Amino acid sequence: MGKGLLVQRRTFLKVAAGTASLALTGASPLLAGSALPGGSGGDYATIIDIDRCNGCNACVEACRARNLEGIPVPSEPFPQPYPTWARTKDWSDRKDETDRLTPYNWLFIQSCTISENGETRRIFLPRRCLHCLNPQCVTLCPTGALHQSYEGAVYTSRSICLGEGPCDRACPWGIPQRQPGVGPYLDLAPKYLGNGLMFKCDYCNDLLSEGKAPACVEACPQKAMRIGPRAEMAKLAQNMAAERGGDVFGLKENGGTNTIYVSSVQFRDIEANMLRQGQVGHGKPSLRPAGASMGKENSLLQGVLIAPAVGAALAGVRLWRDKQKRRKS
Amino acid sequence: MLSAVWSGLSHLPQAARYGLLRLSNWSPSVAHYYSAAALLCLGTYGFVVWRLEGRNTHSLTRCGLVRVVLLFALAATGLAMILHNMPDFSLFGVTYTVVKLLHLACALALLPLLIYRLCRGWAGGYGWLCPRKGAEGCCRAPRRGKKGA
Repeated sequence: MGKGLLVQRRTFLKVAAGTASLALTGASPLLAGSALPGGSGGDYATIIDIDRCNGCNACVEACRARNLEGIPVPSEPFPQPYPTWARTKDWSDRKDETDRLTPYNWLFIQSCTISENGETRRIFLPRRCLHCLNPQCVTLCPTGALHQSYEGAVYTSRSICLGEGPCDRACPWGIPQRQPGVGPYLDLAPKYLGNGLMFKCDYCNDLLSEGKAPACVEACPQKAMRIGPRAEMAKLAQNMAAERGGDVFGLKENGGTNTIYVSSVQFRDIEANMLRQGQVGHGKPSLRPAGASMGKENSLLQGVLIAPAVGAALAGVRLWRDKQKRRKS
Repeated sequence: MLSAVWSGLSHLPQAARYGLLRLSNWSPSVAHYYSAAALLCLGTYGFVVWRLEGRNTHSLTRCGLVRVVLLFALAATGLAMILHNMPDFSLFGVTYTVVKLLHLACALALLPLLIYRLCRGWAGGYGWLCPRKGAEGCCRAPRRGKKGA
């Protein structure tokens, strides 16, 4: 993957200038390897600096080293779900695939070549769950198997996930991946209810709750990933993008995410090149700028909250009219 | 009520799996929000009227009391989930699961309760309400004249 890396002098200067200016202005990002400040509370966001990432796969290896062994082995033969159109795709014989998201690979490096002012450059994007601030996968999970932690991690509880929920369809980027033949559905009615387990990056939730950085952040030799309180990271990301005349992805997408990409190249250009080069598909998420997906529902909140007051008011009118009637009679 | 049940069932994965209740371009969440608003309005209306006017003449049967408790739990957990869906408010970890499963359990428990109430009605018992002792007969009389909740 690193073979296609073409470090451009202009990009290098941009990154160097940005980093130097941040140092001069006193910004103190939490770089990889440092412990998180304990007890500060709130969401922790990761900045992924696309200009620093060289696609070395160290983050992928760290993620797999941490998570692969913990994924349960499917019991075969898989129950044939009814009806036949229920989706089943076994990934257990393709555990080694690292060029896309699978139930066994929660982080991969998506890459494309991009031409900028006549110069060719290879872009590498470590892709995993973005850990949205208001994740609709959590909202729509019918069994409540998806949780959001206080630190902002969105993770699955394997003891109650039936693997059939709408989380993969609800996610704007199609991140959750299903593996049949595992999970509590096997003990229920596997033919008719449930379809496996859903897997995705859990942001190393247990490490995060202990005040430690996720494995991918720790492993990055290029220091392309850094983590810290979201408000600080958002400000830092904006400063970095402004210094480079670049772009930020994740500040507003889907209502905001805890993974923020920064690049000197516009993300719409990266997305266009990804699509052109066939790098987007199932398990290879796009960078489409999703709007806040629960926006319509949230706009109805006032209506729902005011409804009891309207009911009480109507009851008051009825009681007043009854009183008037009784007085007349 | 039908809309609330319909849109609520549409959230279950089986609805999509068996091709039931799911129409393209239709958000079950939005329909559920509208239904919740209507039910909260009607529920509050009914409760206020009973509390201020009908309490002296009617009392809840055991079946009716269970129904009120279930509906109250349903409304409380529903409101908690609505608030959770807001961008700046979250129920974290297992709390959210408990709220969600409680909402589902309360909704599902209403069905056997309704069947039980119908059976009681057919057997001649009172439904959700029964007249208080000494009060004028204001509830619908049991079909076979059998009294007692």
